[in-house]
Amino acid sequence: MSRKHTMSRRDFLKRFASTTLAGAGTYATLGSLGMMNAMAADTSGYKALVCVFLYGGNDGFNMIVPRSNAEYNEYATARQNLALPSNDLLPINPNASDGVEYGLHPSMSHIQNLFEAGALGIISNVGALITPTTRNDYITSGHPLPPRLFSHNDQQDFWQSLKTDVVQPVGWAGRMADLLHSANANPRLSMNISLSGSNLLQKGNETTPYFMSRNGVIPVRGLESSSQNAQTQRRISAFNALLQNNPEHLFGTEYASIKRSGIDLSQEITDALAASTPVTTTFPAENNLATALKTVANTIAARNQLGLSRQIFFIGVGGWDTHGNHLSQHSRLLGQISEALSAFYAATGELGLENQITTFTASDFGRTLTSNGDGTDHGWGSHQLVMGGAVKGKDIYGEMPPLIIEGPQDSGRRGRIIPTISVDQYVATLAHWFGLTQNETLEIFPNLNNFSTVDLGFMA
Amino acid sequence: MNNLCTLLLVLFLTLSMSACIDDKGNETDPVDPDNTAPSIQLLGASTVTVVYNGAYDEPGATGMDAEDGDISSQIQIDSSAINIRQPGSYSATYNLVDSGGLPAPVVTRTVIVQAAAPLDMADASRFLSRSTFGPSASSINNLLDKGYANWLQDQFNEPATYQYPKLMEALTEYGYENTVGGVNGYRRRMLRIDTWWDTVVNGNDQLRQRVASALSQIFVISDADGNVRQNVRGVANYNDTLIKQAFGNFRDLLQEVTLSPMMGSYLSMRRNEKASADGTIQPDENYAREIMQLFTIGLKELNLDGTEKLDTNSQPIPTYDQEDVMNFARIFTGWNYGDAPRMRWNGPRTVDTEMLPMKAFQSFHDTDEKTLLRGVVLGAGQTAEQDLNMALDNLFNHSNVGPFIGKQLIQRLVTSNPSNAYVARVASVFNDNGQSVRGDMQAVIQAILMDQEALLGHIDAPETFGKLKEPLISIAQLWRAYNGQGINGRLRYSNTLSEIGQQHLSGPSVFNFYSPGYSHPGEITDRGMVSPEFQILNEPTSVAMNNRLRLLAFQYSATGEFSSYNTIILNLDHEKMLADDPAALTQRYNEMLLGGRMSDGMKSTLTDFITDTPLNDDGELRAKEALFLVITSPEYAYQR
Repeated sequence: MSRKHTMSRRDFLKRFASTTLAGAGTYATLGSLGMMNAMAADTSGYKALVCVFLYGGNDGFNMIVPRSNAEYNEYATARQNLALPSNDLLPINPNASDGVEYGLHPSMSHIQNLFEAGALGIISNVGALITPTTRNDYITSGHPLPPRLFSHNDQQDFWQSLKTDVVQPVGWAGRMADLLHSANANPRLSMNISLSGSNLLQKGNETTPYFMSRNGVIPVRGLESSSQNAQTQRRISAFNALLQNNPEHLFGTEYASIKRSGIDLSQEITDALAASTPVTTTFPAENNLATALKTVANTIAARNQLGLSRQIFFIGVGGWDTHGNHLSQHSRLLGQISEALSAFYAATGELGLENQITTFTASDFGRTLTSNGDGTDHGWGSHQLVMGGAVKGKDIYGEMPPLIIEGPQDSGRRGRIIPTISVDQYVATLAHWFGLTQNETLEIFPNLNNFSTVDLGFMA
Repeated sequence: MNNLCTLLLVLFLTLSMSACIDDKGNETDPVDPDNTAPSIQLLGASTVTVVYNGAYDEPGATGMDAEDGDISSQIQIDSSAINIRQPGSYSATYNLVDSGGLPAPVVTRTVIVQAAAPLDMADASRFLSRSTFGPSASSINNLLDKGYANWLQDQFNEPATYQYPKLMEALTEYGYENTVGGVNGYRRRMLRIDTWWDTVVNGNDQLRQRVASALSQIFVISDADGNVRQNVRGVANYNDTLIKQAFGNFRDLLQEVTLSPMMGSYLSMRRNEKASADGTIQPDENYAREIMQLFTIGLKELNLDGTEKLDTNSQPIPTYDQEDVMNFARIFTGWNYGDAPRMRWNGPRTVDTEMLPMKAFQSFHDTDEKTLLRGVVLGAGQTAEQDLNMALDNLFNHSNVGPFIGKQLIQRLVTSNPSNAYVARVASVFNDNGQSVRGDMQAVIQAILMDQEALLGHIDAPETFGKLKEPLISIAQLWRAYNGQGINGRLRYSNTLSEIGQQHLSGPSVFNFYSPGYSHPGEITDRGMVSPEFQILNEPTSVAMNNRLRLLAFQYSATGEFSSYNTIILNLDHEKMLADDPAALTQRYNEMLLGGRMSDGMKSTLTDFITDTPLNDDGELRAKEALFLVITSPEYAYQR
């Protein structure tokens, strides 16, 4: 993959200065971007980012649909038997209009309410890009593109890392934690917590995420240090000795280290949760995302006991690879995230932290506009949702693409829509809100300097 | 490859043939016409067998010549081809030239380097940790008695233990034998998992079961998917396909997997139609993409040794592009359930729907010309079956399949980080089993298990060779070692995915529980190693596994006919008898569960712990307490 950038850093700086930065004094630090240890980020107060990763590729073009006649007809022509009836769409009224009426998928009434209340914004047609890309660029050989578009794991990795063509990629949230972790008073617990197991997003050069189950922390049994039982104490002592005993195999050593951390941190977090007040907001039942978000809310409720002022949470939700049974599957999934996100927003209000917690969606890619019969295939750009009191909600950011097969935004013949906002721009805007300086975002997000707008402006 | 040369007797003297033969092969220095050629007589047998990693002592030869007499000392012996660390057949060659320049007829000796039998109990245990669901006392003795070749042949000949009959028996017990759809889905799924445990723990065809388990993590389907979930018989039948083809040919495996109704449902090849006349509906790309990316060739062109081929700009070369995916998507059009009355029929028709291979509906198959990989063109007008066969041939014959599949099988069975040479040896056997057959799974499995790196890795790279045990294998090993018996006749532990990150044919996606290239951050990454199973080992799974192993070691009872686990009784009679001798009990666990490789530090900790633990009437407390510590120890966590 050629990584030739279309814009030099010097060109970028000129543009950057004229469009984004208020003062010229920032130039000086731009010259020393490599000196990241001299952290300039704002780490005051408490802030959390919650990433909801929709594994498999969410069909954003059936999540937000044009309702105006001309655009709806284009949509219906492209989507054929996957087109949602116009009358079923839940209308939304963005503050700034592009002249077209839009509606949400009928299963997303909670998202509609959040949007209309200004607590949620839509970022349109976001996707993996190295540099701005047109249909002609895409067809032209040599234009820099993310590696292996349309492949699940590669695109998940790109979304989560933004730089995967290296031997050991790390995630952008991991890089953020490398930079910010020292701001947290507690050095034992990672700034990054995953409720869905391993992911590239949260892994940094120095940062390893902490993993929780979506139901919370699992206490260890039979090794309770508080136990008065003599046999339990003997058992703990021998167990600990075995974990420390070097078994002369690297995998044994690493296994021991993970288990040690698992047991110790489960104890520490259990104690912290016991000393804090859990949220009372009702979360929907039988909804894995809701269960995980409730655990996130209760963990944040214990932030002072845990000594954490910056946190990035990760929750993965599977099932979005809707090659078949698309309409019913997608409806069910969107209904689940709609209910779960709404409950979580209420819980952040209960904690008095709605302005300090921002939740955002991400996904492998969008779907093809064309149907494969009763489903869709792997696409590219897609819409994303950002929720929180600090979001300048009730608006759609970016340009809604024309939903036309072989139209100006179609990369080919099946409506794999070329993104107009890059992942770098999308998540750098969140990172800037989180406390990173604009210069720091340029360092953390490797393709950001190829785009003229480095902050999309959707965060207050 | 340390010390290789020192183990070999290499006598390699430069022949001075140039004196009499020029570079065109003409004689330039006529020899005495009366001279007679010398002859070589081997000392010792013409075929000798030596033990792998032992020493080859050259028996020598005598050389006699009519004119020169005994010129044995001038025999040139070349035994450089013999690799004492790689089982196989080699030749040593003997050359002799007399003073008149006449050569003796070349003589060769066949040297068979044979890993005949494990050297000891630990050796046997290591081998069985790769080739079965865990060594037991009887399986170790059996292997020691039989030796590798006979054991492998026995396993290849052992009748397959299929899951489907066991499942039907269990379903019938509850009257679910004709149930389809979502009715009693939770219970039927649990019975599927129960019977899987029974199959892999108690089947005599251990090697076959272990390989089928590895294949289930390459050819992934999952009943976490709504289209597969309630088809418990279909899923068991799919497992039986892997069990059956584990010892067959990879091409047949690929065919049966592709036409499985469960794979058809999981990756939506089922009911995939040719494009509509107006082009607004296009073929489904799901199976087309994943069969290439995951089941056969992977994303990048590979060398025989599994490393990436690079283009002139030192960049990896993609194996296919989006156009190829769309072409293959058109191949896989026109298929539905084997008893479907029509192409657009959805849902079961009979109780066998989920079992029967898919069948073609030609009018929904794209019959236009298609271009496959390497420019192979399928002409217009072919049937769905013809296209499918030629497309699977096209993939099967791609040079990536050997290294791509071979390396993953090595990772599932033997070690996370095979050397390039190991991958190349296995891939070579995939490409040709020695009888010009490609894709012979028995030959591939044998090559994987009998490779020098598998047999000697624990000596050559003691800190890094091997793999973290798969969580399910850690549990199966315990049950196999101690003849675990569920109190109602079922080995039940069914919610393993949520607890310990792995559940048979129940993974989170087609990308399996972990990626072959996952590298745990820290020293593993720093050393450039991968560690796939570490992707599902984290704080909650390590604690949950620890808690689960506690329940199993102490055999706590479960309640409820359909609770997610059963009380599994372990036979600890022998251990209880040794409870009054802490050192002996420690040694017993060392042999039963750690293959005799328990470290001194662990022995000492365990012996002290047993000594401090009260000795109750029958020694049960000591036996269980010690068992808990052994199976939760870091030394039990990996296989080497």
